[in-house]
Amino acid sequence: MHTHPRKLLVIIAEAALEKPLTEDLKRLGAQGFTVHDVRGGGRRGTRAGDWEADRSIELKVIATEAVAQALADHVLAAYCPHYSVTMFLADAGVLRPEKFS
Amino acid sequence: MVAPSRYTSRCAAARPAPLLPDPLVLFFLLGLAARLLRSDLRLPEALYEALALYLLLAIGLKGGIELASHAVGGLGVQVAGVLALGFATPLVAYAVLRGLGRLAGPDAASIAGHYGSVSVVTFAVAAVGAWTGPMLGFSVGGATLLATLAASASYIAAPTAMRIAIPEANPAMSLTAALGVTFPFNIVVGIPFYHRFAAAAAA
Repeated sequence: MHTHPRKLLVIIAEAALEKPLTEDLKRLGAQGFTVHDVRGGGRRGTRAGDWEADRSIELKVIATEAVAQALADHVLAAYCPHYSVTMFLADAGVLRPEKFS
Repeated sequence: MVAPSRYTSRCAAARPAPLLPDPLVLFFLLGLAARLLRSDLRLPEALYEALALYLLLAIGLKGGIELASHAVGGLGVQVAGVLALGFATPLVAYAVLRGLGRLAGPDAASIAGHYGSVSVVTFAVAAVGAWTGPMLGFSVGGATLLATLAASASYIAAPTAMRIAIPEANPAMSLTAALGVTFPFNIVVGIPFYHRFAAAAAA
C-alpha cells in the first residue's frame, strides 16, 4: 500500500490551552486535529484531572513536516515557559495526502 | 421561599444545639479524611457536573422568584452597590497582596482575580442558610450573603481564566489560597461569623 509521509505532532498540555492551541494550529496551516481528555504525571507531580484546574488534554495533529515544525516551534516559544507541556513528533504515513497539507 | 426546616433555618437566631455538626461540615471532613487515608473515593464525573448545574439552576430560580416579588426600580441602587463591590474586591486584594504580602505582580494579580470571582458553592451554602430573610434588602440574611460573596474565592472558573490571562502566575499559590484555605474557612467559620456580625450590626 502506498502511503504519503507526514508528521504526527502530539501535544499533551493543561486543558486551559485547548482553545488557544486549536486556534494556533489552524492559523499555522493544519487542516484538522483530535483532542482527548487525559491524566498523567511527571517530574513536577501528577495531574489527576479531578477538577477543572487539574485537567489535561492530548492534542494530535497530522500535517506536513513544515507545518508540524512551525506549530512545535510556536508552542515551545509561546507556552512551554509557563505551562505544563509535553510534546513529540513522529513519522506518519497517510493514504489521502490532500487531507493533511 | 425555602420551606422552613431544621436544615434551612440553621442560621436562625434561637435554636437548640444540634446533635451532629452540619452535614456540609461532615462532608468536608469526609473528603479530608479520604484524602489523608489515600482513599480512591471519587464521585463519577457526570454527577459532579450535574451537581454544579443543579446548584446554578437552583440559585437562579430561587433568586429570580425573590427578585420578582420586588419592584425592579427599587433595587437599582443596591445592584449598583454590589457591582461596585465586585470591582473593588480584586483591586483591594491586589494592593494588599503586593504591599503586605510582598508577592510578585503576576501572582498578586492572579490571586486577586480568584477573590474577585465568586465561589458558587460557598455562596450556595450561605444562601441555604440566609434565604429565609428578604433577599438583597441588606437585611441580616442579605448582608450575610453579600459578605460571603465578597469573602469567597472562585476555584472552578477563575483558575482556568487566570491561567490564560496571566501565564506567569504560579497557580499553586492562588489554588491553595482559594480552595485550601478560603473555602474551608468560609464553610466552617466564615459564614456563621458573617451572619453574627450582620445580626449585631442590624441590632
